[in-house]
Order: sequence, then C-alpha cells, then structure tokens
Amino acid sequence: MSYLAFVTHATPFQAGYPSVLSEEARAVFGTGTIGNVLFYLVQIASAAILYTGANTSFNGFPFLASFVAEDRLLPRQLTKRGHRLVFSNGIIVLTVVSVLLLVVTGGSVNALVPFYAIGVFTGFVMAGYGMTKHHLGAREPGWQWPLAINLGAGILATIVVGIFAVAKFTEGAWLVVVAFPVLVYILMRLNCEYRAEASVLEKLRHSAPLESQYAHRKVFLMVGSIDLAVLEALRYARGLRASELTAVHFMIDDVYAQRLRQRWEHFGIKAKLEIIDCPDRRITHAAQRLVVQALEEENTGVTVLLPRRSYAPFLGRLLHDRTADRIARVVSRIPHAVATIVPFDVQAQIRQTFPELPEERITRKVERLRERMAGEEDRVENGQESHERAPAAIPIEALIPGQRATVEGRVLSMETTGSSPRTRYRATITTKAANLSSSFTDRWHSR
Amino acid sequence: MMPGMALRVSGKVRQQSEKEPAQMINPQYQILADKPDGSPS
Repeated sequence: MSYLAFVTHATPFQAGYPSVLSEEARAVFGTGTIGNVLFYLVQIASAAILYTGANTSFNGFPFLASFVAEDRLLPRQLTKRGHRLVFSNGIIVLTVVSVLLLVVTGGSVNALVPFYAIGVFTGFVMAGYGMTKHHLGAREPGWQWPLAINLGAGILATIVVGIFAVAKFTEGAWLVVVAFPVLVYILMRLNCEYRAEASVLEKLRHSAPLESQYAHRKVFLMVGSIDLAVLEALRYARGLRASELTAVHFMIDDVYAQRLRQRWEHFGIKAKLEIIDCPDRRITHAAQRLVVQALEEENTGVTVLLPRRSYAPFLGRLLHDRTADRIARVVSRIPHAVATIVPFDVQAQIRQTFPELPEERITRKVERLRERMAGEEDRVENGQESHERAPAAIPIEALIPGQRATVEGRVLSMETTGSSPRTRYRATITTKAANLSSSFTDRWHSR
Repeated sequence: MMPGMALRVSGKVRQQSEKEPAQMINPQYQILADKPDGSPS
C-alpha cells in the first residue's frame, strides 16, 4: 500500500474522503467497466474486513470484561449472561462507548486512529513486558531468546505509544493519555471495595451463629401511612408468630399522626399502633433508639418490618425517597436485630387500574416484545431436550402406582438432608405434565 | 446428579394421593444428559 501511495502520488484529503485506499484503487484500476467493478470490489472488501474487525471487539470484549470483572477489577454486572447466553452488559457498554466516540469525533477516521493505535500498542506493551517477567521468573530451557524477543517487542511498542502520544496529543491522544491512568485508578479502587466486601462477608460467615433461639421475638412494623402495602406487611407480620407485634409510626406532623390513628381505628386493624414523637425529624435515629430499647429485655430478638412500595425503576427513584432502605441499613448493624423489607408492587397495581396511561402502553409493548424473544429462546431450549428416548420408557404422567416402571425426565430440584456419610438426596424429576420424587443415598451411583 | 440433568429412573411406583407427586421406591437411575444445558453425556 505504501509503495502504491508513493507511485500514484496519492495524498490524503483534508476532509478524510475519498480515502487514500480509494485513490490508489482508482489509479490502479482506471475508470473502465472492469476498472469500476474492481474498484467497488476493493471498497466492499475493505468494508467487510473493517466490519469483521469491529465485530471481533464485540465478540472478544464482553468475554474479556467478564474475566476482569470476575477478578473484581470491573463492575460485577459485566459477568452476567443475558437471556441469549451472551454477556449482554459488556455488549451494551461497548456499543454505548462506540456510538459516543463516533458522535464526538463525527465519525472521522483521522480522529479515531490515535485511540485505536494507542489502545492496540498499549496492549502490545503490556503483553511484551508481561511475557518478559514470565520468562525471568520461570527460566525455562532456552528462555533467553524468547526473553529478548518479548523485551524487544515491549520496548518497540513503548516507543510507538510514546510517538503517538506526543505527535497526536492535540488530535485526541490526550484523552487516552489522561483517561488511562484515571481509569486504572478507578478500577483499582473498585477492586479494593470488592475485596473489602468479600472479606467482611467471609468473616461474618465464620463468626455468626447458625441458629439463634430467643425467648421473646418482638416485631415492629413501620407505618408511614395506611395503605395496601402496610396491610400486606401486617399480614406477613402476623404469620411470624411474634411474642409482641407493634405497628410504629414516627410522628413528624401531629395532625397527620392524628389522622393516621383515626384511620387505623376506622379500619378496625387489631394490631397495636404506637405513635412515637420524632421532634428532630430523624426517623432512622428514632428507629435505632426503638430497637435498642426493645433489646434491653434479656434474650430478645427484634424484627423490623419495612413495607416498601416498588414503583417503576427510574421514575420511582426520582419521585420517592428510600427511607425503608436507610432504616434497614441502620437496624441491620444492631446485634440481635433484623430488618426485613416487605415489597409491594405498586407498579403492577397501577397497570391494572390505569391500563390506558401512555407509560403503561409503552411498557406493555416492551414486555410483549420481550415475551416474543423469550418464546424463541424457549423453543431453542426445548430443542436441547431432544435426547434419545428409549423405546420402552414412558413419561411420568403415565405411571401406574404399585408397578415397576422406567421413566424419563429432567431433574427439577434436589434436596440434601443429613451429613456425610448418611446424606440423603431427594430429587424431583419432571416432565411437562407431572413430577416424580425419588430418594437416593448416593448422588453419583449407577452411572 | 444435579438439577438440569436428564435422567432415566427405574423402580417401584408409589402414590399416596392424587394431589401428591408419585414416588419411586429403591430407584436405579441412568443419566442421559449430564450438563445443565442439556448437552449429551
């Protein structure tokens, strides 16, 4: 290509188009019919190569990102596979960043090349020096030659990165030069955070008792207003068979609290309602005080129930505060106290009551689309179940009690009871129409 | 044995009531597909 550029005197246009490649192809093939065909063939082939190159990133990056995220250097969301068994979040991140770069640079190749070159050659630098370190550590037979090659590659790549960073600094390379160290710092901080979380959770697993029996179990149900969410939480609270169940309202506005008590009496709710004055308006502190006081009685455990109304994910966050989460965070720090959030899906109720709202119509359309996509996946999954069926085997729903039979199905769930060597396994085997449970003493026998 | 595997189970069938799932006594089983994604063993 460089030779052709030299021979044909192809010079790049300031606008970037037509490209040098196109100029060369035009000069080599001419403007005849065959020349035109070959010219377009070169253009299409170049586009196809670039398309394949771009697609490689979409294949490779999500996998790479998931490995890095597993090592806790990127957000954990990147390890999740979507319904189509690909790392959807990685693909979405890459798409957003790519589109952003295209918009910011106006799709100019000249502006994008420094990003590409620095990115690629930084990879070569890391690979070169990484392998150099490996050879120095491992010292396998004949290690000197590979060491020289890798070290040489690392040094050359460093020089190239340096040249690009200096020569193209004002044309966009500055962003990479600034962004790389900042990103590396952020990712290291993220790693520290994940490691801290993991070490704390591991410590709790070893120190916390597996079972705790309390003589008294006090349940507090936090009530901000009287609605279906509170009634659902109350129903759940009654099922806990607590030695003491109290509905608690922290009073910030006395008129409102008075009205709440009247409504409580009006609806004939039998649970005890306690209204506690909260003059400093700090509900989380008041909840903390209440729990600590309740725990002063010996051998007592406290459960705080927090009804949470769940709204549409984004709009709900904007329109409603997260008091329940804040109280839960504070209560969960107190020993012998547990905070339980009882969710109530307000969004589902809105959907039923006001089906014609424009937001609901859009949501329904999105859900229908999702269902259609999920339907396609179900068909694929069902296709996987088509293992060879023995001619004598029958489906579970055709079993006759009292007789010996052979059935085929898929293991739906497995229960493990007891401890080794007397462990028993109960498997529920399912087909589309019926379930069958079987107990085994050894989950690997008769393979 | 893990959830997701395809099995062929042989044994005597017992069912206490219509509402409960059938049980198999002294079952012997053979794994037909041993990966949760259903791929063959």
